[in-house]
Amino acid sequence: MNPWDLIMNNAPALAIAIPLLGAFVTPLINRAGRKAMLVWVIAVLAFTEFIALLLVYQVNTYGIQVYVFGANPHTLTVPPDSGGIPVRIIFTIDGMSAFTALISATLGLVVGIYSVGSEKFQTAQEKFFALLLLLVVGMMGMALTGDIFNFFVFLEINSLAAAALVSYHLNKGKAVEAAFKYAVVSSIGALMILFAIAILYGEYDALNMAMIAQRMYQTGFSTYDMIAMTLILVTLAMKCGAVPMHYWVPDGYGEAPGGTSAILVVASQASLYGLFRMSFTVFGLSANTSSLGWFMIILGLLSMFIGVTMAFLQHDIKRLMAYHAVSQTGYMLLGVGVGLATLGTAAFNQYGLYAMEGGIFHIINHALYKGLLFLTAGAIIYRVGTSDLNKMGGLAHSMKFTAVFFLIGAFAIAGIPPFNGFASKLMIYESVYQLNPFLAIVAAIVSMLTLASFLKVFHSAFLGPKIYDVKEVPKSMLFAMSILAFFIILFGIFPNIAIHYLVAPAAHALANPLGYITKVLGGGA
Amino acid sequence: MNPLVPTITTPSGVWNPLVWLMVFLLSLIIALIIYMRGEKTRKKGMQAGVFFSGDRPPEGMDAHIAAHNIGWGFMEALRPYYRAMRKMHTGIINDYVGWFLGILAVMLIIFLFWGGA
Amino acid sequence: MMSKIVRTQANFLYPFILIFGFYVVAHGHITPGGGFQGGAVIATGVALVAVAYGYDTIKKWIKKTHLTAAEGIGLLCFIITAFIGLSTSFFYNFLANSGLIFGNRVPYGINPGYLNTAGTLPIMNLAVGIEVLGGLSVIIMYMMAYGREVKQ
Repeated sequence: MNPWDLIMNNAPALAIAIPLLGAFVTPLINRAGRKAMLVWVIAVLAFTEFIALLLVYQVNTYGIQVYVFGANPHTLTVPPDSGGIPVRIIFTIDGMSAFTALISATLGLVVGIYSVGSEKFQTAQEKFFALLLLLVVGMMGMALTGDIFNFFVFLEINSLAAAALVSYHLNKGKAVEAAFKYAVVSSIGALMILFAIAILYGEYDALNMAMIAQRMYQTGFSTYDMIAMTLILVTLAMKCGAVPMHYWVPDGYGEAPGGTSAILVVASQASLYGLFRMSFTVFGLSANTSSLGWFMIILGLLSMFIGVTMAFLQHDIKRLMAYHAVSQTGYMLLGVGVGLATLGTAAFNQYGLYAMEGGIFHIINHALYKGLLFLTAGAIIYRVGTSDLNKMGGLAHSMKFTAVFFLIGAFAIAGIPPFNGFASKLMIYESVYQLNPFLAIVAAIVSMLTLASFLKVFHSAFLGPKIYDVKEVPKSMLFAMSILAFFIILFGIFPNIAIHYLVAPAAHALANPLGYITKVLGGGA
Repeated sequence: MNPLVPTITTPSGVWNPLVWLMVFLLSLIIALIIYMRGEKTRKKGMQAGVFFSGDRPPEGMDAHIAAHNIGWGFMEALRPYYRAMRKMHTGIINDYVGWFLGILAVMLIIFLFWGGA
Repeated sequence: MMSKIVRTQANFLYPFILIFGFYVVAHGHITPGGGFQGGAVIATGVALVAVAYGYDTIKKWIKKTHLTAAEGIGLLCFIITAFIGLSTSFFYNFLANSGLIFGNRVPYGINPGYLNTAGTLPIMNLAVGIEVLGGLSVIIMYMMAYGREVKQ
């Protein structure tokens, strides 16, 4: 078998196997020198990005992909002697999975390149990069898996790697405290999910998401399902930072080193993916999707408003951006929540699907511009040495490129045309108001407050008299920022590139749980 | 749908970034033309001395408005709201978990009544 | 360092704990337990000696670099075994029923348990065992090191 076929056939497995191998080999390669280790890490991340692109291509060309670990052939989901139950670990990749995997891999690569420069003077860099690769494994695994217990395992990998990364710069113990809070909150959440998985396994004798969804649909929605559903959905809402369970977000993002906050944003979005996957595919057929949708809408409204007003108060640049991450997550919850609330009614085709597309488009836009903003914040802290906005000023005199990148990110997050934030926010406003005009009004007000608070950051950090005599940041950091800035402008001017290849397949995949179930239980192939 | 066509059609309208960019550039050009037609004999640089309550204007860090002064009016107007918010954000890990478990309990009760199909 | 009685007991128990741990690892595919559990048992042996002799003595015997190396090697063995089956599928059990090492067929019915079966599973168990003994031991070593720092 030639290498190209090998990669094509095994792309879903390689998406987690390659970064996993990379993470294990990194400490060994570091004994051959720092340069070799960095080349290895960037090569592994670039290859992972390639695999993620390949997955998107495969899903768009051939439809939903299944991959069964250890089976012969690798598409054999239900072995003939298993009694109709998918016994092995199965990866199921539909549009939404490929979408999330692509974001994870992209931000992983960008943060990897950025960290080459920003972590230059730290000790134990091989551990930092190994953890970065493990975090990518966790996110990719959560996005691709079709097995509910496997999902839990990758969620744990994600949480532990993220908590360890947060504490990488000790910062006089503050970062360690933030990491501790993050770890405690995530492990309690993970326990809840494990409990819910146990309930579902006890009830349906299956761990495969498609199998659970089908059996739940056949036997009807019981009280046990309701308990399991609440545990899973509330925990995942907490993990993606929805108000009022968002308290760990500013601590964790605020203390994470350099560009790592950018990838923590995507780590939370993997939980957001889990929330959407569970509520549409697993519980969507049996539960009352209207009340689930309103659960998401209310969490979204609270997150948007409280997130942005709390951000206005902050004077620590990273905490401020972390509160904005909470606020932007609200847009995604709002958009997809409106889609879920109207699922199965005539309104879904009128505006529900558009709202979902807007919410999902906002996920990738948020990953890009919030990633860029966190990278610029990391650049400022790298040069100035403080994250306190009150002590900054006049940085635009010396850090011109960083200032320009910050402006691009700030305009995008505030929804100023022609940047990408405007496109997705427009899609959300113009569809959710048909469900209830109040939703669109809150979303628009939040957008204005976002602009106000980023003007505050821009004024206090970049404008004013020259206070710090600093140089521009290293080239690798600027290069990482320019990648994200390029995609922000590209998706702003040609939004249909993202919508056509990434967002619309994802929205349609979520809206069609039956297709997912038939693909897995229909014998594969 | 051709992905290179930049038009998005939403349920209530249409958005085309290229048209917007053209209008934006056009208005910039018009502004530039008006600017070019202005008075040619003006002096360059600062045209007036800054009057700062009779004092010499401050220099360096003092001339810069620090972050916590920006948006003071907004926060002053919403003071009761912010007082409640500050009370909510304690930074204690027990509260974090408490809120999580509280929401879990509330949602269990709500979904018990309205969760099923 | 603790009293002579404790140290003698530790000397006596140490080989038995190691043997029991490796037994659990090696029989992972036919008896309860496996790589993780066996590795944890072996790490308790390290913990016993570390408690009995104190950190200052033990750090000359057991090097942290060796333990982290064991961790890395175990993980690599695990994932490379998974990669070898890639021409069929990731984690494919290419050794099962092949007649090679661990490749015997299991006879039908009640049997005393044959070690030479199950294909790649015993190899994975060994890999996980090596990884866990390295990982947990290095955690114990670091905790003792910090404990001593706190005391000072």
